[in-house]
Amino acid sequence: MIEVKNVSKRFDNLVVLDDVSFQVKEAQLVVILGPSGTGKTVLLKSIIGLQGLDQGDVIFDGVSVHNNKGNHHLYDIRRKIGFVFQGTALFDSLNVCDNIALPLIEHTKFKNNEIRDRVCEILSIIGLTGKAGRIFS
Amino acid sequence: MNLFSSVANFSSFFLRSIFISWKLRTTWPRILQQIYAIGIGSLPIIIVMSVFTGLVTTVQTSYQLIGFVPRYLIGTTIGRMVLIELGPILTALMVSGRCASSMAAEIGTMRVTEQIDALETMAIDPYRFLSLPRIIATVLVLPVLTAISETVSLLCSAFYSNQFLNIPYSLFNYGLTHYFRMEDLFGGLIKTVFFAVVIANAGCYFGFNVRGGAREVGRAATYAVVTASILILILDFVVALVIFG
Repeated sequence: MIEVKNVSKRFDNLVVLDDVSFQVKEAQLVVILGPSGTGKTVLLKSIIGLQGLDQGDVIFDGVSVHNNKGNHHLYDIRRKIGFVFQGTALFDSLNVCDNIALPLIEHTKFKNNEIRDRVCEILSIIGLTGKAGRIFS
Repeated sequence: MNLFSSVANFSSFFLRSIFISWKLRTTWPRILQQIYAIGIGSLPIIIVMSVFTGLVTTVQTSYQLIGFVPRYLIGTTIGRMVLIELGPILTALMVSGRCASSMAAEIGTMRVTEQIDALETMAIDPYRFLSLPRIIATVLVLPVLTAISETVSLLCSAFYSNQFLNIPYSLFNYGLTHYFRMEDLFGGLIKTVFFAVVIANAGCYFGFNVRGGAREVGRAATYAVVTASILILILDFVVALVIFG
């Protein structure tokens, strides 16, 4: 469960988030709507700890995102979260296969052929079979 | 105050990049990639630079010394000049110009396009992923490039001395080896380790701290080269004082 508690954030004189609170329960779908520049991205980034807060906290599965020292708790939390950036933020120095394989290489002890099999499986699911060696454009 | 905070940030960035779990299993391939990019990539320009360093040094030394000192001392003077000073510092400045800028531009672009945020989101430490391999690779590669540069310079110098100054190879070699001290060679090579840290750290530091867009990426590349070059000159003086002073 994600709990956003009294979150506030300002950039100089611009108040972007003002005492925002809500909960997202497991398997619940929540949509945040709003005009450009009203803090949707700031809110999402604060949930995974990429953006610091002036006030309040985010609790992810009972663990505080902003009031713990060090990065280890953040890395534990982030392993459970999928996050798609506005500009995709794909690694343009890596090909399609390496982009998909990166978390598997970093966080698992799979062998190279197992990783390759998994990447091929994922590519076939999304209809990109045969594109593993391509570079993003 | 600004200078102190900049130095503190620069130093803490280096410590933050080094004192982390290295996870060599996944980091090693990226170190090899960087060794190839920095080492093999810089080799042609280092060789060209070294050829002309050897030739110019010989012309200038002979212009000033021939007729006043025994001719074998040309080998001695050029040898010590190249090993102690010219080889390490010119190689470092060349690598700084070529690699610090490219590191800052590459990492800066990754910052601007949120690729560094994406790494953090995937629980991958960007310092381990981006700066650590570059720092280790530069530290491993720069002494080798310097040794190659010094060898090429001395060979060219011996060739020019033989062809145009009538100094036989044996006499040049006698001068080169007669007053040779190991600390000349290792003093020069030890310096390159410090230079390497400064080059890689400047490239990564300014890349990581890019905020904004394309203009800031270009500015970061410039700052990286200027900072690395100035720090190389300062460190050269400090290390010279410690080893040869």
